Amino acid sequence: MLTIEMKPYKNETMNSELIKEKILGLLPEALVEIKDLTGTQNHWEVSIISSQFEGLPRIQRHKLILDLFSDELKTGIIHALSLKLSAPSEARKSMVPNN
Amino acid sequence: MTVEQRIKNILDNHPIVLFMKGTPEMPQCGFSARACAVLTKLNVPYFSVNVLEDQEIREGIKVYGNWPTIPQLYVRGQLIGGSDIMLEMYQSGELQALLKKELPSNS
Repeated sequence: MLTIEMKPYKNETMNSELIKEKILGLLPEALVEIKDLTGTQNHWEVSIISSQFEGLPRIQRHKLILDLFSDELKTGIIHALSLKLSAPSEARKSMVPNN
Repeated sequence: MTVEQRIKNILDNHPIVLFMKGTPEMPQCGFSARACAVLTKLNVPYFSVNVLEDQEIREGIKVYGNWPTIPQLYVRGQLIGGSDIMLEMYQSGELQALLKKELPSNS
């Protein structure tokens, strides 16, 4: 089974590639959109559409992703992580671009 | 009293509790401000805990409900979630339904 060896974070910030890599490691088929809310690479908005969320209550979905980034949240490398998590069946409604 | 007992005490004595950064009048973080705005919009009485003034609760609440971020909303002792979930539930009407019992009778 492919295990992703966790590279120690050289720099103090995350970038969207690292975030996407971690999410896809857990949800390989997911559609992932990442926005740097403040341009400081520590306030992120992440939208994920994944079939794994089908039928999963909101709080479980969020816990799944928050657990994935628990180290970064604890150390403050990620200061804020705003999540929009939907299953494909719900995606049409929530992914309407607002800009 | 352990932090867990302190938290349980707060939750047992208040049906709606928002653990936040700052106060409803002076929120110290955007997400906490958003959480307050949702509850204010619903005209729902709630008890807020300023975790910035209580480091023990700030860390303890994350362990208590296994939720790593602030703010956190609890209703009748149950963790509902952070500001994202509150907003989603507000937009879908689920939050209103959940809080209906707590709403002042005239609304």
